Amino acid sequence: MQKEKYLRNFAALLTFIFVATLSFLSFSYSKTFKIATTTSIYDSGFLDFVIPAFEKKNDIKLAFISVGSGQAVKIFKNGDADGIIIHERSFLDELKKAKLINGYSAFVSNYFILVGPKDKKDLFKKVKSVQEAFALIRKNNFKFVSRADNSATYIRELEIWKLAKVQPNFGGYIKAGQGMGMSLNLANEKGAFILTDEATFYKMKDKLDSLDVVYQNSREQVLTNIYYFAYSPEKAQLSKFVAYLKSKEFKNLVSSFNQKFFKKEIYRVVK
Amino acid sequence: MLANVVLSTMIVCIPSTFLAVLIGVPAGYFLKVKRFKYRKMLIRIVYTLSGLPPVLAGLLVYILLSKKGPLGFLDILFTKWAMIITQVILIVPIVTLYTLSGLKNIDSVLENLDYLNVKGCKRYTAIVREYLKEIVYAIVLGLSRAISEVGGVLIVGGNIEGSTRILTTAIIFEITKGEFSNALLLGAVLLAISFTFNTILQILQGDAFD
Repeated sequence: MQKEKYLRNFAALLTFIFVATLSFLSFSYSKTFKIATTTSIYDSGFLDFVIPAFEKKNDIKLAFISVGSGQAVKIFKNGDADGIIIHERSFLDELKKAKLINGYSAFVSNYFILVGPKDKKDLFKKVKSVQEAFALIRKNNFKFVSRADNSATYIRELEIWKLAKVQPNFGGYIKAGQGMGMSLNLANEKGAFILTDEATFYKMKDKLDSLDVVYQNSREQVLTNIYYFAYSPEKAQLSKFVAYLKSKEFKNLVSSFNQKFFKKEIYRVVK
Repeated sequence: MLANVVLSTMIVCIPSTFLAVLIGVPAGYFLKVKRFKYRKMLIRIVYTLSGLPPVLAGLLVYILLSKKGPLGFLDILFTKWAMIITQVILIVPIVTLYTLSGLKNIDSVLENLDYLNVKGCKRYTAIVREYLKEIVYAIVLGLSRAISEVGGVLIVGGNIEGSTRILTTAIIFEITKGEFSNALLLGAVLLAISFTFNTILQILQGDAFD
């Protein structure tokens, strides 16, 4: 009979845990908008820093799904996300053409930079453009880590190889197939060069002890990295978010983010 | 933050294990006891599925639940529900397989029950009581799989902070950012939870019945 009692208690306990968790689950997602976002701006902690103020004021919750730009576009196209944040304009033009968005707004920018092993930094002192730097890497068959995913950074990297008139198929070319952070870790371990955005690099810099900036130039068009927000026309409420991205409050948060994590201006508000 | 991730982990893993046991144990019993045409074939399928790669399960559930998919109208992609579905798919074959191999001497047990003329509901309670130890083992296996799984739940959950971020996906996220010490800390929490669960189950199983 002792056994029977235990059995009953056991069953009761399991059922209780089950019902409790399931009822917890039923908490609403009603006012939550899903935003598919590119990894770089999310992994840097930027979105988590600037969004709560917006959510609080408007009683809207934004849930970010952080994936590569290519996947973000796919998710948005399938209707599984209500909004999208990416830094590849051609993708947005496609979405606009397909009438999946009415338009898009640029809200923040930073720059792409070339980072690489500290001991090879001097070799790049006389380099005048990023394509020249890439050609130099190719010429010496230095290791180079490519994201090799469908991300905006990768698309930009391919553009630069094209400008340099070089096929990226040399021995030192490593295809990572991973996000920005993981690819930076890989480059750090392998002593390789890599194209990255400033924010992700500086946010991770103290963990990337063998890497340093070898080339940067804020006047080169191809190195400008602009982030855009767009939303589905069916989710008109998200226009509030666009307004927020243009507000003074947002601007102030951007500069305090820069101050807090970089001590210099990395993210710049786009007017 | 951490508390939220731990809570989400429980909310995903416990119901998925529970549902998987609810499906897997009867399925295992059925496959062990009943004789029918494609039984051997079905058992082979269960064996195969018990090694189903989580990312594949994740992909299938993703396609199913996407707005463009057949179950898109449910609107549960990137929620805990999607994660639970994925985990149930992954755990059911494991629980089934374990039940199948755990029901030793079931024939003589059934014979005894026939002899005593125990029918209907009472018959199944008697069987559950007889094999409770095996069933708890199946729960342990299911829960271990649920709690350690990452590929599938990352795909269908989206690792959204405050809703679908659980311990394993949070570990991946910390690694992505190069925060290895944070990742290690989360790993320790995961192990501690697993240890607690197993302790509870062991007490229920061992101390009560030995």
